[in-house]
Amino acid sequence: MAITKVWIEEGCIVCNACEAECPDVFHVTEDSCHIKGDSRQDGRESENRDEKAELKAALQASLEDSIIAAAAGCPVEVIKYDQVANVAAPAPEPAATIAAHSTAIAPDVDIENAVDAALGTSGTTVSVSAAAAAAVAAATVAAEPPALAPTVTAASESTVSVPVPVLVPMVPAATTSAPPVAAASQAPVETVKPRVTKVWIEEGCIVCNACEADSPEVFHVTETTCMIKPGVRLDGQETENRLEKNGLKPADGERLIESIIAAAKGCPVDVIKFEVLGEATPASLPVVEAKPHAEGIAAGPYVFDYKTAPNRQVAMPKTVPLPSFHTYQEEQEAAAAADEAKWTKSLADFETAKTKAAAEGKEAPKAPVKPVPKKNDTDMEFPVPGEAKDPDLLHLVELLDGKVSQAFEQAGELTLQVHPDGLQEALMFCKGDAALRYEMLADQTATHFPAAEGFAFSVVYHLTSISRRKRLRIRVLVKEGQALDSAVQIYPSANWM
Amino acid sequence: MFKTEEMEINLGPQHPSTHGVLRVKLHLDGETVTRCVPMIGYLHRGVEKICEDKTFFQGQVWTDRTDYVAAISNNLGWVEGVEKLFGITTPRRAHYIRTMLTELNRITSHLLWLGTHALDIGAMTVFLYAFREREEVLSIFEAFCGARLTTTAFRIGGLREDIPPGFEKQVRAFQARFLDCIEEYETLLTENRIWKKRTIGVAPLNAEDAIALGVTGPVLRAAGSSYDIRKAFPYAAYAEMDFDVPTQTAGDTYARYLVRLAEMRQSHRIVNQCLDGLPEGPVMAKLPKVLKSEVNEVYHAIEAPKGELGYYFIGEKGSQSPYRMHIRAPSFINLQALPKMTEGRLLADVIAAIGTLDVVLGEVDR
Amino acid sequence: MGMNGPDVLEHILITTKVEKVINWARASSVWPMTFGLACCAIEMMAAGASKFDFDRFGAGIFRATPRQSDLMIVAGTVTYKMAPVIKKLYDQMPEPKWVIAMGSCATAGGPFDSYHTIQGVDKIVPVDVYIPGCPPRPESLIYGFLKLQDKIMTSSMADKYAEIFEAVG
Repeated sequence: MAITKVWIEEGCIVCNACEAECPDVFHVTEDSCHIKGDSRQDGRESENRDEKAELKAALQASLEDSIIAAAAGCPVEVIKYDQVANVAAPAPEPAATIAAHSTAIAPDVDIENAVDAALGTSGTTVSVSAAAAAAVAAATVAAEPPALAPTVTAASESTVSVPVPVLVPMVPAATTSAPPVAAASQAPVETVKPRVTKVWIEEGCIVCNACEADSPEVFHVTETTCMIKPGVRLDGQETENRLEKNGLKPADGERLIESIIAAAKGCPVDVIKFEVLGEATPASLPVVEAKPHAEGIAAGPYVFDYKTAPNRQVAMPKTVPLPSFHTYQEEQEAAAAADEAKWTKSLADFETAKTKAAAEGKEAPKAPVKPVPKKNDTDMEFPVPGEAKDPDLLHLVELLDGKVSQAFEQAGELTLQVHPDGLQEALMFCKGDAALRYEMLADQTATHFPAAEGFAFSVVYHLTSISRRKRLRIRVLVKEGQALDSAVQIYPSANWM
Repeated sequence: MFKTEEMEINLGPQHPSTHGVLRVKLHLDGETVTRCVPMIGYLHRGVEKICEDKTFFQGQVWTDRTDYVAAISNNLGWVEGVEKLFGITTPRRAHYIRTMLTELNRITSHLLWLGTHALDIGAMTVFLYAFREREEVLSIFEAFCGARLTTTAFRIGGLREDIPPGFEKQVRAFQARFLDCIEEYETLLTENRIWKKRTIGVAPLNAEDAIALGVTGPVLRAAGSSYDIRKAFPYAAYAEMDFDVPTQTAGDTYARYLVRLAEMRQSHRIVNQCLDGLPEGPVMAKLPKVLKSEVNEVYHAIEAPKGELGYYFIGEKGSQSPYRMHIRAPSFINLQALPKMTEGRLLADVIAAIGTLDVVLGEVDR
Repeated sequence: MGMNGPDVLEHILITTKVEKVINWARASSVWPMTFGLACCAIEMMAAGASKFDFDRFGAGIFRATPRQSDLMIVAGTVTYKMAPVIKKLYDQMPEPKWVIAMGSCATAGGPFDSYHTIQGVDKIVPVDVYIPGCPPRPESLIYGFLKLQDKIMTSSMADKYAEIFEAVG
């Protein structure tokens, strides 16, 4: 790998970034930036815009990294270069040393996994780099024929014999003889579990801690920046991994895939990027099982062809965020059961580990500690739905006798969900009953739940009792195409709402 | 010999007295209005739908542009609604500063109403006087948040910044002379015979009809009801404030004028109390940097200068933006009473009725 | 004879001076139309009121009808429902007429990139001056108006006729 030519296109903003990265090649003046004469074969000093003169042969390989860094760091991206896969002079890094290197780092990778990983890596990354290499080759018209390098077969043999997860594919990519993808597919391919091969953080991190909360094993957020932890990285360094994009250890990449995707999705500024091998599962997407809330309502014939509106990308909601005491209780019970199961399992694991350790005469492992819920040190406590205790709600439940689906309180607000056919009656009681006296319909609106089964809309009526200083929400679930009885007779203000 | 027929005319959408792009279709029998149909939607900007795609922090920007005359009230409704959705406790000092700015905003809104309403009816001078004081309050907003009109003044959980140095002095300077200014408007209008002729008994609405039609704010209070959300369901720091709810019983245009002037005096009182009793302490609650919602549904209403301004949110689990956001816009629902107020009355009174309802079309259409 | 010399012609043919006088008269009494759409209209009113006093530039007389006005200040969001109305109002104004697009909504749709908003009033009427801001301060409006006055001062009747001929074909 080496860079033969480097030039600067129009648009330099004289920011000095390139000179900081690579002072041997770039020199930034008051009003421009040019390639230094010392580094050029023709010895002239210019921006090198049109002539694209060659770099000195001695510098081509040694300055490669810093030129790439300067080009990547250029804020207006005007630094361009010609990269060829290899020049005759510098010997490429032998595959064996790479292999030794990576095995040294990850000694505990079991062989099967590693083979998978290696194959997978060459399978995906090569297909990308082959195209790039072909483009480079076409541009430079193969002035220096690739005299070197393990051939494709050699590469895949080496991957099979030694776990070499990352660096290999660039080498076969240079040989234009056979498409490496095909070569990879000749090898015995096993079903590849999806895993993250690389994860890096682009410019713009706001140090919000969201990623560390989602995936504490991969991300570490400091005062000023966010890092990829060394424990999961192949090279073991702790950096933002911005330019080098060093790979993740295969085992960790597979184990942590969900949390990494969750962290990337949760990043408010979207700077966490990753490469996935295989099909990424959408496991991190919050999918709440849609439950039929309204008893006895059949699934509505909800069909809408969003392809008829091609100008607007419509992201359909996947969840049914309908607040409900029942649902909340069920969710809480399920979460408690899952926690309990996890705890039982960790206890059982501990027991087996203890007996195993005792049999081998080793020290007994540490006993597991029951996880305590995270302490909330913020001024935020999410209001959860609770049982209906307010006399108004109880009174209405009694009055409407059987037409109420549910009644609960959340965030200090009273909600009464009634059947569509009980709506008129409920409104009439609210207005007319001497104990209730809700004189005003303050607001009425509806919400669409495309992901719901059994209903399509929720219609809410916000009633205000001016004399008693109370508010009440009446909610009705409506199917697609179903019309509710108008409330205008009872509350004339519903006319415009 | 004479042929009489009902005439249909359009008032607006471009008309100097419709306060924007309201269109009213009127059926006239001579000079008498037989039927009045307000037609809206000329400024529909889809704010509710846009906010579903924005995070809770970003959405506040669009609330500035619904009722652009009282942007701070809208900001307050938004942030308090979100705080209710998330269960956030806001520091007391932030509440005081919010209350103060909202009351100053009520003053600017009423001043703009006073100026334009008087202009519609034919008194040009008041407009110039009202805008003189309004500019002074706008420079107070500018000192606080950098914007005159579309403020985005607050943050979820409190305030972005504490009040700047010199702010209190600026507010006190305004407070010192504002009561005299109200006197000045009153000398121009309250006992003015033309003004009284054009407003007394014009566009009446009694309390029963007002409540039935959902009309709130000064229009309702001028009809005799004392429903004020600041007293009925106290929010921000209003529970700690000492103020009266001015009411009138006549329910006509003149009564609404008196109520709004008295409200400005009460706002003046509240601002003074906020300045005097401003507690020490932080202005921002401790929050996670990313607000991710759970499933919840809230309706939070505040007393905006025009009436009950409600924000309805549905939160989706793990989402940073509301699943559904709905604004209960006071202008929109008050405008519903326009036919009731004008039918059977004179054409010239329609202008007074639109002015006295104090509608802002950005809020009507959203 | 002396009549043939260019210096004499200059004294006889005073077209440029008439043009200048007319331009000066036009630029000094541009009557805008009372036409507020949204938030920017409030700042337009503020510009016309006591503190900023638009009248200093001869533009303080806001006319209620398009037939008496020279300038349309499009102050606010232009929705699809309002667009035909604006076009009609513009067509009703007598020549010469000018348009100021005040604020980002009238300039380019502003923050409302959605199904209801026209992304800039220049899609329906020709705009002379664009004023950015959301909303622009009254000072910005005044600056924009001064720019329009500059434009009027440099305009020539010949240009106008050329435009008309071009339009007629």
